[in-house]
Amino acid sequence: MTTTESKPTESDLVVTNGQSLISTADHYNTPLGPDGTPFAYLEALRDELEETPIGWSEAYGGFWVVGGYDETVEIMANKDVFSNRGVTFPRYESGEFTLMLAGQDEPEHKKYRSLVAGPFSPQKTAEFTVQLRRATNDLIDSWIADGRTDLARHLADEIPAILTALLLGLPPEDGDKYRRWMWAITHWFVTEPEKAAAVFGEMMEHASALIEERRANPGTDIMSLLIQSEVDGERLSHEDLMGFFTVLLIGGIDNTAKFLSTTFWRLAWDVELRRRLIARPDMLLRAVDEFIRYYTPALVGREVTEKVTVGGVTMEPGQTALLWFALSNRDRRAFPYPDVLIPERNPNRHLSLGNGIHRCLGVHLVRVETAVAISETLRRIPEFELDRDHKPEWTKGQVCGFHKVPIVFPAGEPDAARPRR
Amino acid sequence: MELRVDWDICQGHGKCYLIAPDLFVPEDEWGRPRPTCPHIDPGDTERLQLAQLAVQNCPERAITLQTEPSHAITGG
Repeated sequence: MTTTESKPTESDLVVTNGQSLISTADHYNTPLGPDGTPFAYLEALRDELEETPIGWSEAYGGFWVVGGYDETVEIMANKDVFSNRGVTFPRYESGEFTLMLAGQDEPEHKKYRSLVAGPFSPQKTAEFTVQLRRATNDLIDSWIADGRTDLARHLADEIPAILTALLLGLPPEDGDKYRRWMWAITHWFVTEPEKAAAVFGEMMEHASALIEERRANPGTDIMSLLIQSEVDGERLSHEDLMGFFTVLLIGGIDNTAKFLSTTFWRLAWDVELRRRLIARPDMLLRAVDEFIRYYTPALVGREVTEKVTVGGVTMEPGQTALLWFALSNRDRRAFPYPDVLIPERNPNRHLSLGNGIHRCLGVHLVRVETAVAISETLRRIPEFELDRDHKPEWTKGQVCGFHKVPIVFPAGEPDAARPRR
Repeated sequence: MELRVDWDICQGHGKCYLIAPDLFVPEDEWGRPRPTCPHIDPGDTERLQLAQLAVQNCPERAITLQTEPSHAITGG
């Protein structure tokens, strides 16, 4: 079972007649339920993994489906046996370059990560709040008078693209171009590999031009910083810079956009939750953390480098263990009532942003982005609902979430009093 | 009670200063925190609850809240 075409939101949940769901589990082909999401299916997968928290799927030549919370933490902590070489599975179209940071092991990982710790520090990311608030309101102004929009396309996709462009030193208005690159790397490589390679080539040309330009005229962006950085007394190679560009681009725009779109979809029909967040803005940051648990966008892989037994199964070198966070974040041993969204959940040690040394580099940025996007949207359009004429659409894969969330709302006024860009 | 963060375990997720901004501030560029109030009076239930919330939500289990020796002797 290696088909990967994402279908729109008709329910394709199947009756399994007692067949194992794990043996056919394929993250690029998760059946969607009547609500348009795969969570009913994922909860069934989780139930099947309750006895044996790690199972074997036959998809893509076979891989381990890791669904237990403790086992996931154990694997992430065992860096000597589980290599990040296998972080994307099947491997993304990223040319011959290593995906920097995400695809690296120690000691290289830490050396390269320390180069970009500064720009991603909580102090530095907080400085983006004002720009993000303005960008969010500009986007809302562009459709608020229409009384309808697609919150994924016209808000959740754009905000991370704008921010990532700022960080990388790219023009912020070219979001469509970045998303095309991202799709090639993360999806077309499975469905249309030739197209993926061609589009990846286009991206490499753009990245090369950007790097040459920044070498001549350094700016305050991260690529300029990396060009001037050294590891072990050596400047970064062209391949290193390309690997950084790729990982910062997909890491910056894919997860946040999907997660934010899915959160907006929830807020569009969960009126009670929406009103609670409007009444209690102080709840927002913790609620966001619960959204991240509940609507976990990402899965990550690890390549087994030596024979190891974990969760009662023995893994062989060369195999892939896929850490399916949507499953481990719904492990009943770690989360009471895991299938319920509880904004003030405590404790909430979800795994969506990783654990151990590979915790998401952009963790502080994600919080600023989502908190600003949600609070400004609720301020400008406190009442909205799903558009009955246009269905939401879900993206399957290593990063999943809605890519289309059409809504309707009482038309409002663009905020003329606000200072323009 | 003594509130501590083990920087060898901490990965700088930043949940402690998100949940309890009165007790933790981000300190280094990796996002690791400094407890601003490392000694909490056991009678200060409000602070104690916030500290416990931070302990219970740390994804790496890097935060500890322990009885200080002087209190232990007096049974506090």
